Amino acid sequence: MNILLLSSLLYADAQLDKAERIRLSEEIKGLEKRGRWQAIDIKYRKILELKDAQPSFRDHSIAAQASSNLGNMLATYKRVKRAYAIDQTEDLKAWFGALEQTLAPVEITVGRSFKEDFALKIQDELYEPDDQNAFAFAQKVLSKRRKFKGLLPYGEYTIGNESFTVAPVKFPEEIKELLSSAVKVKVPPPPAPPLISYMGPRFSIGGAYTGAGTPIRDLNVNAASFAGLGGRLSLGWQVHLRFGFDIFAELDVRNMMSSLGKEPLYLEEYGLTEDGTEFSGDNYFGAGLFSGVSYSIKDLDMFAGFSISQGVAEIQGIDTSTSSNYQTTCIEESRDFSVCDDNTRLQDALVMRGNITSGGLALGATYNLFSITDKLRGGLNATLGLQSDTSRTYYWGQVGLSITPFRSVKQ
Amino acid sequence: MTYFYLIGLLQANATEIPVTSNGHASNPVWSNDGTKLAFEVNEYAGKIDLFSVSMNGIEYLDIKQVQASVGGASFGSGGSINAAPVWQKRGPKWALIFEHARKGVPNRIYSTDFIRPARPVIQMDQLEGDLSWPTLSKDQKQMYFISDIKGSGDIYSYSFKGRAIESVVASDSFSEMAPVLNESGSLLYTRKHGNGEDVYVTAGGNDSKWVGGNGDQTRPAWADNTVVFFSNERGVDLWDVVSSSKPSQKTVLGKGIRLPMRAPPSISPDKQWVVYGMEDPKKSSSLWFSKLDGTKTFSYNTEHIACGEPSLTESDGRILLAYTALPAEGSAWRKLHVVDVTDLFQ
Repeated sequence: MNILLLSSLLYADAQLDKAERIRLSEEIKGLEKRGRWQAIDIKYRKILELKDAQPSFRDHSIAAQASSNLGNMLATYKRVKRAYAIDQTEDLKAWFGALEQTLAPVEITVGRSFKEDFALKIQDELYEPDDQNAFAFAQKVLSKRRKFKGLLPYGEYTIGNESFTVAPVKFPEEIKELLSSAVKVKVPPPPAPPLISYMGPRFSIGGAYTGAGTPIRDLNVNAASFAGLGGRLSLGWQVHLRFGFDIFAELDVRNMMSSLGKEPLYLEEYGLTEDGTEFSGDNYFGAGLFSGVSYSIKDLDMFAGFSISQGVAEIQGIDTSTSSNYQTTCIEESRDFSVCDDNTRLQDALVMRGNITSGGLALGATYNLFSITDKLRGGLNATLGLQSDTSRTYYWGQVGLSITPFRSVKQ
Repeated sequence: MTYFYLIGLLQANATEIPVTSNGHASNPVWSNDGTKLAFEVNEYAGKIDLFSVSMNGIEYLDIKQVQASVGGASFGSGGSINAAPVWQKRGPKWALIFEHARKGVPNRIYSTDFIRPARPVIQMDQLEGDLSWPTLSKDQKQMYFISDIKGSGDIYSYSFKGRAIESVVASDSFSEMAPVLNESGSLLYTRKHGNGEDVYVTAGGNDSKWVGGNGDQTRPAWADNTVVFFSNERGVDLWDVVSSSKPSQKTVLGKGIRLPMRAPPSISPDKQWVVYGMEDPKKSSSLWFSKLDGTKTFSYNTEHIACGEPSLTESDGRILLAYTALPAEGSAWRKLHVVDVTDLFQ
């Protein structure tokens, strides 16, 4: 009983498959008239998936036309052969003979790490629709899967950095063996470009602003905050790396000559007179190192990095809020007067000299306006720095002209 | 106007091109070098067969029937129309571009290199509808054709490299037909309007009427910068061959000509003459040559009757003439003949 039931079910499944094959075949026939090759290809593949039904001669033939129009010539060859296995017509014999005379198997693999353009190109123009279809199909498959196994028209091809020739081959009897005689092409990643693409000097000159904030740490005597204008000159070296950005290092000198909104104060009663001292106002002179990375978008260079400075400052006035012991500390000026009393005017007039060592960050931008040589270009530059010596913050800025290596010329 | 009729210059020894299909041979089309000849055989029963012949002078080497596809419903050529051939040079070989249609299937343009089955040049997903009138640019890298996708016929171009399709001439309510380019790239075509058809030229983006008139001015051909066309200005079934060396100017070269089935006027290789057949039974055993400036006309006697569909070419310095005609007796079908007419031009 069970065997009977099982065989009945199997028979019913087979009948369903056959009915489905007939339905798909009729659809294929209708689609062929309208040239709907993609739809035909899909329905033919559905027929192939049926367990208990096989495509008819007409299915194979129309599906071969479809794959030919889609450019999948390996599928075309298989389908023509299948049709020919059913009915050995002269037309089909001529067809697969023509495929064997004009196409050859090719296997192309493009490495995942290959990042360059890998469009398949052919030396001679293709005119025959079958050839154009086959070439376009290979291009499409390669761009999608980076791998192509199939048939291509004879010719000289290039892909990536590889060239290859598709030449006549003898087609084996067994289609399975066809790809074993394929031209095998692997497109390896191109050798990495040199780490340094180009490099050159980096220079800037311009007006500078230098300032010091209020101290945050108590000392016996802390100089008052200061700010003023001066100049900055920098000279360094810039290197363009293959990753698309530059690194640079530059040495600079910067000074502050004129104090902003603060006149020197001379107190004759303490021996501090204009004639008797070299002090003419707050001033600063320092040298430093600025190093970082630079990135370009067209003519605009943006850069950032760390900066360190060592300088000498001469500042008039003390910051009484953080100078815990200024009243008992004697500061020697050139005239050797003492400040050991509580005198506000005197606190403002005291001149302090000292070394400043600070470090921090700086950033800026250059808008390049002109070429100086074919390797250097110049433009307007603006830079801002923020540094600290742990007692207080120092800030500086520069606006001026700059020269940087020209990025479009590789050295 | 002066006509010089030099009747009966030569008696032709023509080669007949044999084919197995029944029907009237028509529309012989030469390759540019005269080594290939394609022609149609029309049985007038919904079927037109297309044949390709390899030629060596007036001798045929082999004859192939051109089929549009293999397999399935389009197996063989039964009930199909394969027509309007155009030869395209592909490297050392010639390929044939032609129109194909069959029941339930739009008219499309196919191509074959005679090694593989013919395939549509333009796929449905590129441009739907009926495609017709294929013609090639001088460098043969572009094809111009008519598409009815917008209702009436418009002219499109197709680039064989890159497979790009572009609209060239389009009008909302008129049909453009019969595009043909001269050496400088000026596009000649006709535009159907109401009950008439006029000749237009488009060059450098400017579209202008070249010549019009009553009835149809149709199937124009370039002879350098002169336009030669057929006109039925005198009546529906009265066809003349006309030349026009400048816009609006017309010179009637021959009256009462036998209108070819599909072909434009055939121009001699030196671009000085047009050849045609005549409807008048007394004149129909000859083919007639008229100089394009209208100063001279002569006939060329054949051994056939009802001569028509002439097509001239030059091959290895010889001038060859293909034409169709009925034998003097014994056949119901027009056959294709080829004859060497070099001496006529010397």
